[in-house]
Amino acid sequence: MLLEQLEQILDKVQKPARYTGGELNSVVKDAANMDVRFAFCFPDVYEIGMSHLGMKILYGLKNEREDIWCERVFAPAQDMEELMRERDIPLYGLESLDPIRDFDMIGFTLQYELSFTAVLNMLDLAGLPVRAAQRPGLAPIVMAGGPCACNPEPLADFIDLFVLGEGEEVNLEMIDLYKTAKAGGWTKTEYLRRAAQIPGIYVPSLYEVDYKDDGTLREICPLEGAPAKVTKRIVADLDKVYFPDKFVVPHIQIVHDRTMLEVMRGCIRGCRFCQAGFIYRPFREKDHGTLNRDGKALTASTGYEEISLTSLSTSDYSQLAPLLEDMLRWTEEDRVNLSLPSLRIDNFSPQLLEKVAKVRKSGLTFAPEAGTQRMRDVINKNISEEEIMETCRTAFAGGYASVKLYFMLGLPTETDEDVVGIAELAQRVVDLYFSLKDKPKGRGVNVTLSCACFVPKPFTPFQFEPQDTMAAFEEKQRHLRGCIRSKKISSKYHDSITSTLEAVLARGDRRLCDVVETAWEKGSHLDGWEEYFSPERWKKAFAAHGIDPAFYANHQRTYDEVMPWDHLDYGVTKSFLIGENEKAHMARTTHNCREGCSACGAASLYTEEVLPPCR
Amino acid sequence: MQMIPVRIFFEKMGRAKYTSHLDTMRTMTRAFKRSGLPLWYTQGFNPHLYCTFALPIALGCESLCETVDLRLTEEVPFEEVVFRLNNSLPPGLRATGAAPPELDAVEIALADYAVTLRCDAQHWSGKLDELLDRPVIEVTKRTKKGDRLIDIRPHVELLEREILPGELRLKLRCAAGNALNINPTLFLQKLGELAGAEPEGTRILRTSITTKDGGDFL
Repeated sequence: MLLEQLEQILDKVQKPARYTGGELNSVVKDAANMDVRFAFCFPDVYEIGMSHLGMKILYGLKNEREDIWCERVFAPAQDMEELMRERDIPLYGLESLDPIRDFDMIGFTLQYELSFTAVLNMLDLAGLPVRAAQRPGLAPIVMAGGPCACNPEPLADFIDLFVLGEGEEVNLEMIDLYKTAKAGGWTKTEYLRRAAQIPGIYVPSLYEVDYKDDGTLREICPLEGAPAKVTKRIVADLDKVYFPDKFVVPHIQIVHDRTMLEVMRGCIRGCRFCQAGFIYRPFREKDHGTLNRDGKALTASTGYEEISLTSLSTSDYSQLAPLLEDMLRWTEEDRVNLSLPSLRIDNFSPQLLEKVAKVRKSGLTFAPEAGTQRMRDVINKNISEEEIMETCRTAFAGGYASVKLYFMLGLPTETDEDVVGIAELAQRVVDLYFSLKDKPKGRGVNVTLSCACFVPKPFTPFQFEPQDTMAAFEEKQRHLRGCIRSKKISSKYHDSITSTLEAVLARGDRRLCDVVETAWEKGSHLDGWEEYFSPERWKKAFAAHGIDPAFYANHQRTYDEVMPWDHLDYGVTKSFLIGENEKAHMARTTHNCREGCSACGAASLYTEEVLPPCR
Repeated sequence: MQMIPVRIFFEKMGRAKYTSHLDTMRTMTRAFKRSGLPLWYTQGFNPHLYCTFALPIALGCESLCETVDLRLTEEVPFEEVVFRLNNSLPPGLRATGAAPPELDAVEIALADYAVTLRCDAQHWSGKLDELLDRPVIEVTKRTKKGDRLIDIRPHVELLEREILPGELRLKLRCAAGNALNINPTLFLQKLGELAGAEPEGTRILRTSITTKDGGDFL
């Protein structure tokens, strides 16, 4: 029925294959035999959402169950959205083309703060009220998970429940409880009250937030027996956890159009700015045999010609050598390329380079993050300039002539010297290239600096820090640009306005819900896209509710301030974060988890039957 | 190493019509890989699968007569090639045959299309006569070198017409090939302009590709 309606608009939009479904390995079931229909929504366009590994895992996991049908839903681009609204076509699941408002559950994954308004827009396109309180029925339950669920407060009024941490187990527990609710004719209130008792489920409507006169939080009170602290879920044994042997193979090219293997979860490093490094703890690895097996199965079922080993820091994987050995044995013959993103500078060996180089030779990307050693010590990026130079030397000798370096501006305690240090470091890399006898012949060197604006995030030691103002960011960008003397160096800068907004939303409280709603009403539908983003809309939305974004982005938070996410527990303790913050201000580093346990608290996430490998 | 050229004939139907040529190529390449057929790769510095399409159908149109040429390193019975491919192709793409290529793509001259327009069929049919009576039908054709005005009247022939309630069915024969390829939508757009409306629905299905003398492209 909907297909006919779609046929009439699909020849009018860009990339119609985003909206048709019917891809290889997509799962089609008989709706009549389903107990639970689940819409897995990614609040961004198809090419972005389809690249997300977490979605592939949870899609496969749910569809393994005979009583659940999980479908994929993405945000339509503007041209499609206009036509859908014009012709009253509601947001639908790509597998059945049925409207998702009739589903049992709608789940969003929150990967970045700027997608928050897209969540509201998708609910509205589905024909549902955006506010949870205005959806009184049991179905659909609107839930959300993903990294931004670690401070979900700016979405608290819209989402019925949040899942904290890893979803493989808790999603099914949540669905099973829903089945009981559906069979027993429970109200939504009853379901949510019971769901709040499942570890890892946070029901925001069951918490009351009280504010002080200065705008900070006084306390967060649980209601109706909800736990005072909601602890995130982890899966203890990654070799036993579900991993798909099939990926949906899209018709159109997506951003990460390849097989992805999740090598490990967590990171041993503890860089103080990095949210992923803290919220994904404890550090756990998969066995290389598991990975090799999954890689083979996925290559056979997808026909992909590339496998990417993904993690936060792939070169920290303790079984990397045997894994590459296993995989290169068959991938070379099958003409499958291996790619290893997220390599660290300090353990990038010539042997590793040789293995990577077997497959392709384009550019290399490294992240020193800061230009001076003092600054790198502050952020606990434990690499020295010597190591950076050594890596570049290895890369140049291996035939690479182009290096991309990632930096951040606006890090806590940053001085003029640290900003200038970025340009100086880049210059020394250029000088190094020309000093080498074995540099690639007949080619000039290319050093690209990519400079992001630092955004303080919850559950990091920098969660207390004020962000630089936009004016300060722009001044630093100008200054850095002026310090670059060589034509071999080019520099790119992240937009400071979006980084500011990210900082507000990342550490915001539930008073921001009104702002998010107003920004959406004013037209913020796909803020992650520069062409759709408008700072004006957000400015007006803040003004409309008398909220000063600077309060969230720029005020120095004291150690005893109640954070909007203090009732959520990600394992790492606040006292550990405070200790790390103090060390940062003394420019003192902390060793990584392999060198010794720093007692961050994440080991407490293991349940009794499993012995934590990081102890 | 042996190098056995094989021409695959396939259909591109249903939702697969929304996959562009470039994406169809990628989709096909992956299907070839999944099929486990002994594929021949180019022998250069950066080996890739040899795979070439004669006259790929435009985005939004269906086709019964697509071809793709590839090369195998071992003899495989043609029925098996078809069987294995169909086991690995996504919905909408279906191999209908495989054979050694007989003709070169430059010999393609014509293509037939079955067009279904959901519209006021009587009104549109009258406008169709009007359009066909014109000695010259100028349209803007977008090419890689930019927009170009061409007269498509000599290159479009009406073979059949059927007037049904709410539906006008046409069989059109258009010039086809590398030198000059007339997409029937160019003609239909002109028709729509005359009719003063857009059809409620359009279905375009390519039914055959032929050479100058009317023989099938094999």
